[in-house]
Amino acid sequence: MLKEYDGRVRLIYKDFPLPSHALAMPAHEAARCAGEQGRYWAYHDVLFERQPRFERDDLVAYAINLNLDRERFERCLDGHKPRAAVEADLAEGRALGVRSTPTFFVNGKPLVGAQPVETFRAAIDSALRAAR
Amino acid sequence: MVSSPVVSLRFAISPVSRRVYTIALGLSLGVAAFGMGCRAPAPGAHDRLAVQTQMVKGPATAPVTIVEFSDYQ
Repeated sequence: MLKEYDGRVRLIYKDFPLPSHALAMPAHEAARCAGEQGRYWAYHDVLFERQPRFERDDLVAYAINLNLDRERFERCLDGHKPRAAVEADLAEGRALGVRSTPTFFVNGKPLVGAQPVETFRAAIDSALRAAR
Repeated sequence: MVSSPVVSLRFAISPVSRRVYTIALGLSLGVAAFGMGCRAPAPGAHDRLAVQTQMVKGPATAPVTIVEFSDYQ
């Protein structure tokens, strides 16, 4: 979708690990730890491919496969360095009424749940028309 | 500052020199969220999202911004 609307759409990803998913929080922290080494989106994609295998050893293995500095990654992960930032995202989402994932806001208009591409296309086209 | 009808952006440099976007979603988000069944954000308290550039794709000048709240598991 971003390629289709090249230059006209920006995506902001926000962490919203659900409390019912015990391994979600470490996975979100791990992605941010990968981001420290400039590989946030690569790691993000791996997590979606490999879910729900998010035990610590899995998370470290994914980092190694992406050629990240293992020691630095483990220090970040074990120290829960990104925890506060993830929790800040959670708080922001809750304040906006987010109760389930994924929840999207297209120029402020909510789209709740996994939606077909056509739904996103319609929402984006509508937002583009409104922005003119 | 960059602005659009529904989203305005403000840029700041953090103490660790990490560029952070502060996004004021404004009244439009509250109204839209309310209309779609999401709870409207509390006035003034939750209408700004702090976003790290590493978690953003696409140009800051894009007329459409999609904010995704998601869970990996």
